[in-house]
Amino acid sequence: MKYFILSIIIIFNNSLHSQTSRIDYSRVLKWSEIARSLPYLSKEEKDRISMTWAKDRNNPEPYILLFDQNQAIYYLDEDNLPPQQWNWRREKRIIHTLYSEKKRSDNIEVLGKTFIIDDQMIKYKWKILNEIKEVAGYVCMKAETTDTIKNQKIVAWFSSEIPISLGPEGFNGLPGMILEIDKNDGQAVISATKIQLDSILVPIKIPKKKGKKVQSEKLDLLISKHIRESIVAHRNPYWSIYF
Amino acid sequence: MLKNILVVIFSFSLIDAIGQSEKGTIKGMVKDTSNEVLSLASVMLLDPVDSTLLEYTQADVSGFFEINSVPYRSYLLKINYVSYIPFQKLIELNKKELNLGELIMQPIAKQLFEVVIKAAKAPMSIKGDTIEYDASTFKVPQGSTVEDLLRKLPGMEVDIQGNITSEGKNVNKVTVDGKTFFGGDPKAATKNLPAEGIKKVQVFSDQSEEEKITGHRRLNADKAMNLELKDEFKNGGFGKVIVGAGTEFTKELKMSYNKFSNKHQFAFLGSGTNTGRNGLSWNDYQDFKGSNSFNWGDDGEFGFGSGSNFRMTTFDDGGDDDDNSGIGGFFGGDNFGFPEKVSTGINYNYDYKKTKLSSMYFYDLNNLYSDAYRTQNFLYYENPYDTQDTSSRSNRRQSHRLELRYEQDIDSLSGFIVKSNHSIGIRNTLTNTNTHSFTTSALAINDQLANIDVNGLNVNSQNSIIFKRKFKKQGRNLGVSGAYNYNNSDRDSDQDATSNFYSTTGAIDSTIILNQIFSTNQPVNTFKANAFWMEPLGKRLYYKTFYNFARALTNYERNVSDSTDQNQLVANDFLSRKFSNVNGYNRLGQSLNYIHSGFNINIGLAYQEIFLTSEFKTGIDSAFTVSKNVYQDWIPNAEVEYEMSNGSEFSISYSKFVTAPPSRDLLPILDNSNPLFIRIGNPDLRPEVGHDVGFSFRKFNRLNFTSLFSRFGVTYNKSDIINLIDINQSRVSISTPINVEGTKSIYANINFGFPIVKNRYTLNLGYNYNYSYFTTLVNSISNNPVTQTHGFSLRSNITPSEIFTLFISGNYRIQYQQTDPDSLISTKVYNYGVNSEMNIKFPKLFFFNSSVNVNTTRNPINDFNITIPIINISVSKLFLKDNKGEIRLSGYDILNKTQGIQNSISSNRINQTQTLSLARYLMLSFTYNMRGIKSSLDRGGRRGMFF
Repeated sequence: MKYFILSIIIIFNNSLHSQTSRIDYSRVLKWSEIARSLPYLSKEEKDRISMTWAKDRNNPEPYILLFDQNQAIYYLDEDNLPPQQWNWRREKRIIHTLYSEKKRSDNIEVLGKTFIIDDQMIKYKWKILNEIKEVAGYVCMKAETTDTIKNQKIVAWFSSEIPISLGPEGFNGLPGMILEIDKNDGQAVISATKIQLDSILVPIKIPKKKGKKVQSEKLDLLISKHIRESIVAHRNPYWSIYF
Repeated sequence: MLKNILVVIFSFSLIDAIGQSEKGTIKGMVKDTSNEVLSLASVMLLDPVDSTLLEYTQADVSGFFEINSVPYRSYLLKINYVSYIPFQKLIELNKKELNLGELIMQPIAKQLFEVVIKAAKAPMSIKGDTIEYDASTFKVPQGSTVEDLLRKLPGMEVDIQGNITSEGKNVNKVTVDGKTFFGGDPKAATKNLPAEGIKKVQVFSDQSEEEKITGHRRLNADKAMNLELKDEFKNGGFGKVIVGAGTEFTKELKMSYNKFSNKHQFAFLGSGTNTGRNGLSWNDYQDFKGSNSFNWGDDGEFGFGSGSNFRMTTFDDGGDDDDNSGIGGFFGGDNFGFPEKVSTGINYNYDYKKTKLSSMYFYDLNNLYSDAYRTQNFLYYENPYDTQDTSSRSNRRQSHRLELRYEQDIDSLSGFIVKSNHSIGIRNTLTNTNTHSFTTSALAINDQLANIDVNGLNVNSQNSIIFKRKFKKQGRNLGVSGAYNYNNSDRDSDQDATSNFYSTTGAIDSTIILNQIFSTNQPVNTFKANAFWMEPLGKRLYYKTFYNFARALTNYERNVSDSTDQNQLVANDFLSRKFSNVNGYNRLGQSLNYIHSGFNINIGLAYQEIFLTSEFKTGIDSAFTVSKNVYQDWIPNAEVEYEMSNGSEFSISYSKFVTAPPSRDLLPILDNSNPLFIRIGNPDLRPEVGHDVGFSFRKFNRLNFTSLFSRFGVTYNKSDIINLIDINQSRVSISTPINVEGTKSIYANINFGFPIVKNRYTLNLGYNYNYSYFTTLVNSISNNPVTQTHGFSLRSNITPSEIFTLFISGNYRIQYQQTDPDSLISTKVYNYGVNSEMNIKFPKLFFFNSSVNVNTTRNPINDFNITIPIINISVSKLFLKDNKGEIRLSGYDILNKTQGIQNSISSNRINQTQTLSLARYLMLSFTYNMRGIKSSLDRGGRRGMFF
């Protein structure tokens, strides 16, 4: 077992220079759980939401993380959305990370406007917990952090078998690839479904970025203001921003 | 070389290097219990206080690691390696180099690792030597006890007596949620608790107090087990009662009780009121039906677009005006007159993994007593006239409904839904009407006094099965459905009518007296079958083909008897009818759907054949005649929808609809059950065919909360069914349905909302317009009357604080009726008013609510001009723990002005009705809600069924 893993890692490290790896994630939002956390709803309204919607089968959205030895890109896999009779528009989110230089470029839609953030990679303050589980064939360890803007509890499951300090949605900074992110105890779960290491010969293509350049802090301010105002207006803020 | 690559990629410091403190190096070697090196193990330095990750690296191939230039302090060293229990150790760096030597990792028992991590995919958490995992991932049959569950768990054994051993060691203590269960006998808990209530199983060494202090451990220590219960097993039910009584003998009662868990939902609802204000709402509907609230659209009638295309053909399969829909009881509007309403029902849903079962029984009773005064203006070129009638009506309707729905996923690709809905509707109506007709110069033409007593029984049963299958190839879909519906309506009516006709001098010219008993019976058996196939043509393009089939078999029988002066019944062959119909359609269609990133395009074409076959007798003893009509149509359909990134949505659609004429209209037989309105069917009648074009645009600016909505639509009827009317001097009309071409209608509306002060003061402006162009054929004069409506509205929401809200709206509506498009003379009806609602929250949970509505109706043609102010006021107080109780005193229509006015305009008729209704009353009510009553003024009060 040990030698097997060792050999994987060695092969992995040797071939990093020329090839691209790909991790497919699926992102599931549980709207009934998100709604239950809204402070302006009464207990009766929350129970009603649970009773009516909690059992709904939520449709996962596929995302792709492509990475090589110095950069990574994370985006919605629009061509593999679960076939539906109707397709609504998804908010755009492309995260390009030049991790060898600790830089990121986030192309994100917030409140109907497209922004570009060119900044340093976000430094998360992770707590490492004593829990292990398997995600997509890899044994992962649990870590936890907090998103202070959206006030979300973030749980990450990372595997040191893939020794790249990255993950979905720009999460990073753990000793291994993040294979699962869980926001607020299941309100949103982004989980790896398929992992292909070094098997892709095509180099990463950086898509053209469109949008208004904005500083990270300004966008955070816009988001927290929107959340605050929506709560006052008794409106679910997450109908209009990325959860 | 390899080592260098690893270090480059993998070493990562979270500590700012600027620190002044002294720095040192930590090194060590990772091995396991069998002294083998653990290459490339991941090594972390955590803050011992809160486990924050400070620094990490990876051991090299020989298990050696070294972390350089880290500040002097204490660390929690943590090492992770697949299939080993994470190693942790508290260390203190206080010199240049700290060599930890060999660090030994414990493997996780192979069986545990394979079963829990690999097979059950359950998270495993390690607390010292306790391994804990999620028991819910281990499948046990329904009704199993914890003991059965334990037998499934890796490393656990349960003998016949129920003694438990874990990894060879006795489990001598079982706690539930950390508490001792029934005196600590481990078997009491495991034998009695249901397995489905358990969330987690934790097994750990049972240390004595002495061992805990000294840290010494016996080698063969016993084990202890803790069972953590699932949250829902800790929950109970909830319920609500509202009782109210008031002046004018008003009373209301509403009770509901719900109990729900992860799998089961049970609901009871009972409601009764005689105020005419429907006591039930969307919320009650949702509480009652739970997860089955929105299972609509699974009727299996596959069509072009997203759902089924209801307008493609409307088909007369014997549905009756008696409400059978199953949800009608919740959404009936407020009634005029003096209504009494009782509704009660139970609902049970089972929803677990692949199975969903819903069942419901609902009983509805509606009694309505109404005395109404109505005026009608018949705007004909030749022989126009006005009528005035007074009627008193007692209408008692009851229904029993039973609904079952069963949904089963067979596997991840296929599943089926079975639905079976049944209802019985009982109706007793007694109507007494006195009608007077006048010429426009107020000369009496005729009058009629009629008493009608109708007793009806309607039995309805709808049964369907839908099978759906997906395939490995993404986007390939198959659906097959079948349905059998039975409807039988039985109706007995007894009608007496005396009609007098006056000559121009005002003397009675003639009198017709009718005293008849009608008995009708109409069983309809309908069979339907549908199928569709969807095939992906690339990632974004889908091809769909569907087939619909329906056959409806109707046997209609109407027996009419005249009651003679001696109270004897004589069969009336002339009015008695008997016919049987076989109606049906076949439809084959296909469509192309393009779906991508907010773009949805659907283009389709179907070929449809409707056939209507009738076998009828004009009288009981006459011979059967057969009529057969087949109508073939091509039906195109197109829809484009686009959602833009800035929150704008745009859609445009075209559809064609074909509506088969009702079978009764096709029979060439005369119906003079009302001697003032005689009808004759038309065997040459063709279906209604029309084209609809719709356009909509909506934009919601999520940054500043402004919104713009607009809709526009045109309907053009290639073939419309109207009544050809022949009206004589005595204003007796004979009507025959015929087809005309070229009638049309237009609607448009636009709505603009914007905040003046965000979240405090919002304005909303709206305008809507309707245009209808009809054709009338009266006494061979063809006419094209036009009605137009303009409506304006202004709404403002004033919500300055958490304790005060005010909503004010004004509206103005004008309806025009022109006898033809070029006519300069138009009749107008005006409606306008101001409505407001104010809520104030006072200290100590006192609330004040008032609504003031002042509405004016003006109808110059009848010199009618009335302004009605309605004021409602209520004061309430919340009390009891968690605001569970509310006491409320309400005053409705304080000024006692209710007059029950309704008016409408159709092709060449203006209607206006005033119904004597319950006006002012005071009511005192009490509410008890187990979940507490909302104590804030809900400013999003119009949220409705969503959230």
